[in-house]
Amino acid sequence: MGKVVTAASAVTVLLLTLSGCTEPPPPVGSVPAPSETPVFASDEEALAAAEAAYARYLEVSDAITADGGGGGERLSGLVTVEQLTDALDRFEKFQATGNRTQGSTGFDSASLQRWDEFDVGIYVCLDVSGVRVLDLGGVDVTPADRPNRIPLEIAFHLDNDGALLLASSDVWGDGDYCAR
Amino acid sequence: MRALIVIATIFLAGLPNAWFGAAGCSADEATTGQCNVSGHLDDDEAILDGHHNIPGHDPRPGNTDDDEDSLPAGSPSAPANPAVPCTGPAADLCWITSPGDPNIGGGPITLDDIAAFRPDPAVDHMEPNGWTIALLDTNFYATGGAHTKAGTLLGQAASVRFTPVRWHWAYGDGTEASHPFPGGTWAAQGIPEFDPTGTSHIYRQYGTYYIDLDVEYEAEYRFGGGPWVDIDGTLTVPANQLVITAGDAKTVLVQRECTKNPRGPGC
Repeated sequence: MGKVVTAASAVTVLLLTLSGCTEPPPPVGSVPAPSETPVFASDEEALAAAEAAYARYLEVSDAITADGGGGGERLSGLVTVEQLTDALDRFEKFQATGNRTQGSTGFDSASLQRWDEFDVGIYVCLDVSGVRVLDLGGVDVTPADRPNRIPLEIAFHLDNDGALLLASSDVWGDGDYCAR
Repeated sequence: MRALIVIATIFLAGLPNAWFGAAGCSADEATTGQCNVSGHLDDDEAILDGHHNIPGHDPRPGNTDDDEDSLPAGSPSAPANPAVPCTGPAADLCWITSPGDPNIGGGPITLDDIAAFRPDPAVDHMEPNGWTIALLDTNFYATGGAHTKAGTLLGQAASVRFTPVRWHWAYGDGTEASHPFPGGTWAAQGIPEFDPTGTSHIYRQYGTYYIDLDVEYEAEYRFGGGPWVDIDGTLTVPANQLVITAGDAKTVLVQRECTKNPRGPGC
């Protein structure tokens, strides 16, 4: 029996030693458990939810730049924490220019790329033709070479409440996709 | 649901990852003109990163950049399906799915769309084979020319013709060279062994080197008996990897004696 105990102890020591070389376990609760039921009933529903979230995001983003970049935290709850941090940096720089925007950013041609219980991806054609950049004196300083229609691949993360938070926004393809 | 699969297939098959990471564009950046939307396929970085463009066709060992964008071998190209949404970035593909459309054969198809067509990889060769002498020229050359692949493009019978236009060697010693020609053997060029050729390379130090060759192709497609239509951009495909040992040599085995080949090496 004594030998068995000794052997068991040796195994324990070995396991403890080995465990020192392994990766620490991931923090519990960092990954949401897969839900039993789909978040959306259909592709159409996923696309509609993403379109609504994106429209809301554009509305707030326009409002912030219309205010010269102030109040960037209004995007909180609409974008991921990482996106918010980046956006606040950009708004701060925009504020330093003294410029503001006028008009509304639109989008069209939204199509679903993918969705699951964690993310929704869509393609859109962003249209900034209705937005002008004005300086302090109200002079239009919109860059002449600004692309007005931009194909974007947008990804949203679903938070625990089922809200869609904008997680990335990247140019997709070349400009031809959204050319008119 | 099928429409989603079609779009996802096109998306996953074709686009280099560098495209996404480097091209962030938020709405506020777009309004202030900070988003660049042009010429991604002509971006050198994307082109040279060939294994992203050609999923599952990177034979080089040690390539740990596992492609989450790989398609399984034999993946079909996007099937014709009237349910493909004719909007958004894929809109310019929609017309192809309509047989009898007068635009067929003349519309825009990008290299992304032909990811299911893969050019045969070129074959990289070297002279001498497997060994060389430091400070002398080693001759590299590639075989494999223009060729046509038949298959299905967006549900239609189609052919894609690939024409190699550029050969890019990475010699494994930190140097690279890009040539608009594939090179050839010393014999074929009438050049003495160990003499410089347009594609030769000199290893300055002894050692073992791994040589990679990427071949850049232009592509054209056609449906049925229609005309060949150019596809924008180029496609880069890796060839086989070579291994060479560069050493010193006091004695060199040559093809012929100096009496028979007075211009041979060492004569």
